[in-house]
Amino acid sequence: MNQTGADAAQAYLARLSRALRFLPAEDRAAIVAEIESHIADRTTEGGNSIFDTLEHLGEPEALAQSYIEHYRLEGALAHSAYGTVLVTMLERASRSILALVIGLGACLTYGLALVFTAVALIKPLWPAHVGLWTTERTFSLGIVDNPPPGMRELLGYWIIPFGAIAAILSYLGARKMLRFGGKIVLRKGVRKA
Amino acid sequence: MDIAPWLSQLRKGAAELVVLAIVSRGDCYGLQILEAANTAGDIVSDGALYPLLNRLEKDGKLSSRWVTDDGSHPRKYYRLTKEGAATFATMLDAWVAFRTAMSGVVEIKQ
Repeated sequence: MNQTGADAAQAYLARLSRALRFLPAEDRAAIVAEIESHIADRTTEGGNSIFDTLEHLGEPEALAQSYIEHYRLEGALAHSAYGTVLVTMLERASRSILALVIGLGACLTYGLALVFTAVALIKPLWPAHVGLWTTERTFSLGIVDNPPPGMRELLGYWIIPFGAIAAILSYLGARKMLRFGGKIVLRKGVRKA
Repeated sequence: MDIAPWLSQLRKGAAELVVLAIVSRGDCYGLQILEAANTAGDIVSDGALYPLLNRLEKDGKLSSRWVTDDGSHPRKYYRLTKEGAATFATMLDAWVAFRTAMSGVVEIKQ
């Protein structure tokens, strides 16, 4: 092992370790030690140069990323960190249709929860402009500048409990979707790009 | 036509079965697994193996221990767990059925 090679290996391991900084310290040390052991094996037994060995491992940040994806989803599900699950899904969306569907579905459902919350909150402040209107064939729900002429408003102040319940159901639904989808994506394993 | 992305997907799907098969034959460490996997062609890359081993261990399919032989650096040895052996047997059956079905469809010459 010549000096420049040893330096390159140390620099690689340092970058790997830095990229793994959010993992539990014990796991992080074990991963770095295993890669260090691999480099030593490749260069002694395998007779490869250090530079070839490092090139075959790929960029340290990319290597770290394939470890982290699994950890993050697993940890987020274990701690019910739904925001992290959602971000992970959206990050994976370009590689997994399932993650795309779950990510967008959860965003939409969280969005619905916001709309229903807004409806319930604004009704007492601006009663004439919030409601569920109907004609013969159509329904429209929401907050409007000018209530549509010729339409009948159905709920009155009942829209407040209705909006609150719908908001809670949407919120719980989005979380359920993320938990259930996260477990499926986790079971399918890390898909390395 | 560039078949590299397709080939990469194929390898990715194969890697888990290949690793379980090699470890089922006896305890071994990373480089031994890579050498056994890639004797007849590139199947598992260095950068893909270690995160895969990590995941298989976390999922309870493999167990590991660090061994320092005299005069060498520490190495992480893997062994198949009971759950890993069961997974391997199921995957192997599925693979044989898949291979037979594929051969029957794509390898027929008119």
